[in-house]
Amino acid sequence: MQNETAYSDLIKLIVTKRDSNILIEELSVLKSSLFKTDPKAFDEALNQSVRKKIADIILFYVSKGADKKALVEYLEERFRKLPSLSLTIAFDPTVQVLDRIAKWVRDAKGEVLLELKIDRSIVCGAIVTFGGKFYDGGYANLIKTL
Amino acid sequence: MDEELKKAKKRAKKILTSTSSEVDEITRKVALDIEAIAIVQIKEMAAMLKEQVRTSQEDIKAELEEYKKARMAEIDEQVKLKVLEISKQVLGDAIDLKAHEELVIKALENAKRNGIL
Repeated sequence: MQNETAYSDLIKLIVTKRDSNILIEELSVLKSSLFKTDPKAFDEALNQSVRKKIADIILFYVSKGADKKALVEYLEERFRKLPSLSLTIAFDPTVQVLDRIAKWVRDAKGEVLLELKIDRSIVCGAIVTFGGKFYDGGYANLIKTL
Repeated sequence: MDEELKKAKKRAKKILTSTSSEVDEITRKVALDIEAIAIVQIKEMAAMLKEQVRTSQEDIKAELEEYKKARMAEIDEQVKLKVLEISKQVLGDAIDLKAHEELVIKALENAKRNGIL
């Protein structure tokens, strides 16, 4: 139950596939630290190799009694299994814009990671690829199909 | 003897007259046959030529149509490229972040409508 709640807290912070890959790397470092003999190894790895917001969430659930190994492995597995939606856009989005786009996608498709690509040649709009399906909603394609 | 000779002459004349008529008849029939064959052949040749002209006209028409289509597609493509190039120059700078965001959401909505999401 705690593992699932920790996942729910983390998924709010992890929007893109890139974010998720970084998180999986961080979780991998934490998992490795659990096999070290030094009892402080996990805390050190948390402080040195994990982003603060992520570390705070993990620390919170560990302090509530969650099993470190089970928690890390659970999170790693959940994030590895998340589907991703490829989105090609023509601009470099701010964090807020990206969050709004991610919110729209998650409202429509549930827990999905964004795989963002920037291609200014599409002018505006977006090219969407999900589950093997493709939709070109870029302005450049609109002109081509006129 | 004279009587015999007269009879023979008469018979010969009759045979000659009959043969001449038969030759005339055969000649007339052969001429008619040749004429009929010639007419058929001329008609066939005329039909063949007419068909060849018609086919050539159709080929030329199809080739012209094909060329017209290809040229139109070429012009169409050039116009689209030009419009795209101008759009990139004009819209590239003119679209602000908010408009970009709205157009991305619109593309996502269209993707959803099209069964992609």
